[in-house]
Amino acid sequence: MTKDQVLHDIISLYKSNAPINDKIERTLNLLNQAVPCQAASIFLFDEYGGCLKLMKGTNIKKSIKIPSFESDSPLWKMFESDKPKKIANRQIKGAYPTTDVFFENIPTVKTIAFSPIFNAKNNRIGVIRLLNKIKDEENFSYFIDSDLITLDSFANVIGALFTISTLQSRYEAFLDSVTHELLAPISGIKNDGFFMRRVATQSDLRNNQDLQEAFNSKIEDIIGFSKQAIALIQGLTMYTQSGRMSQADLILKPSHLFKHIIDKSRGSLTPLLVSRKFKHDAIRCFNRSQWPLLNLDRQIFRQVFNNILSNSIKYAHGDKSAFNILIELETLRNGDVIITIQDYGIGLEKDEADKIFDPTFRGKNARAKVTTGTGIGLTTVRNLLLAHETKIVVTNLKNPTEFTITIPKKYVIRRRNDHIYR
Amino acid sequence: MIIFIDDEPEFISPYTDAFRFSGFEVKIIDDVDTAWNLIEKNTDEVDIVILDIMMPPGRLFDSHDTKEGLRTGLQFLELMKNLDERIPVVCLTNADTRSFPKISHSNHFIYEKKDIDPWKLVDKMSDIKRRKKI
Repeated sequence: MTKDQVLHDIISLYKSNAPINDKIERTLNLLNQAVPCQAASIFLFDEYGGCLKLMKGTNIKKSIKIPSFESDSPLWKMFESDKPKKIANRQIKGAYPTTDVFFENIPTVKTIAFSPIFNAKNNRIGVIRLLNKIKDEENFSYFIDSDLITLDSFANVIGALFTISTLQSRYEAFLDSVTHELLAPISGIKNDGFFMRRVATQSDLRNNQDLQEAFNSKIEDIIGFSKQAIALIQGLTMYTQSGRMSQADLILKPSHLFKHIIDKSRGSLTPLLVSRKFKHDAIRCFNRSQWPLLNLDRQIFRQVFNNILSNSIKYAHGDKSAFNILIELETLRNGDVIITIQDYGIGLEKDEADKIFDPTFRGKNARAKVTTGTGIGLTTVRNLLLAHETKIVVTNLKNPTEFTITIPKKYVIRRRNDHIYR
Repeated sequence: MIIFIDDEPEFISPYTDAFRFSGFEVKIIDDVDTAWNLIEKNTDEVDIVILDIMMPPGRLFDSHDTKEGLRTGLQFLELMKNLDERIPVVCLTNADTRSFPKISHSNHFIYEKKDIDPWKLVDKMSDIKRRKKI
């Protein structure tokens, strides 16, 4: 088999819907045909599951240079969850001081070693080694230069194909979520219409109070569902704009508007609270009368609070009557204003706090609790706040989960009687 | 008794109301754990189960492959088949059912799109209930 044929087969393989395990096994088999493996070829998976890089050099010990990243690759996860039987746990002297080596026989390739490797920053890096006969751990000098060049170019192709397929699957998952989120309220509206049409044409509403109440509640539902669908569409629009929004795009309005923003958000979320059987006044504010005046973009901050608060409600659990979201504003000595939002919802794990604003992130607890949602809500929040030079961070993980937003003092309106500015 | 299992009950009120006003006793449950507990203990009283597909897996399916909740209802359907094949189950969903496993062995298990006219669903279920009694 020529190298071109092998490359062609690899590309076809990655374009197919074959399970990931098959892809790996067949790739290794194909690579072995292209470059009969004498010693070791090494592939790294980057954080997106792509960009495989072959470690060049005939002597690994001398040439090793591992970039710093954690692997979020599906391949890596597979290795983590389905580790091959550990036959040997040997330290490869000098090369990988923290490496455990696992071996497994796979029919198409004589031996494969899966080797979790830690770099200097203690990040794990996924590594496959394709091994035929490593007898002498001291000596990896089995490759000739042309083999390395071939494997390197193949690895780059595989990496690119991986990246494309990862992006494609994320795109599809995103569309799935958006479709589901939109279909739910729109189907609700349609079904309310069906219900009302029958009731209006075939029943005597005046003589059936129950039916009349149901009819009226459907009118409210239609309004609520429409708002929900509109909010989602606006959220999507805002998301697409938020990444490239700058300070120049802001429409700042000085007023008591922050209170209005919170009130509007509370008002629009009340139906969601009620339908999920929470208290209608579960969103509470501390020291409202003491809140400083802020100079903010009304539309942006409404979206920000809508996203944060609806997220909290969606992921709430436990005693529904005890669920609260608490909002407080406080002026710091340096003039900045911090807004804290606490909720007693599902909570976050320690390693999730930094990732929560990433577009495809869904918390470990959230996965088990809620399936729907587009996953872009908090990314939009972060992007929109960045346009205000405003930071949002998670300051407490659970019970309560606490977000803190720091608004620079340039957006705070000075008041004569404000002790901070005396 | 007709049991609706849906984690977003706000969207199914046209269905629950249509059944209620057609004389059915309706119970709405928003999580699979409570639902399974109730059905298992009251099998004889359950006429029909109307089931959402995309739901949180709960403790019941914590270790099952629900595709992160996207297919929880299908796991629940399997439990229902094993519990009592005579209880009809309607999977009422917005999801594309073409990729779902075919349900061919019984008219008691059906997929319905969540935009079916609520009154039509009532008629269909009334038929099924009637046939079940015969």
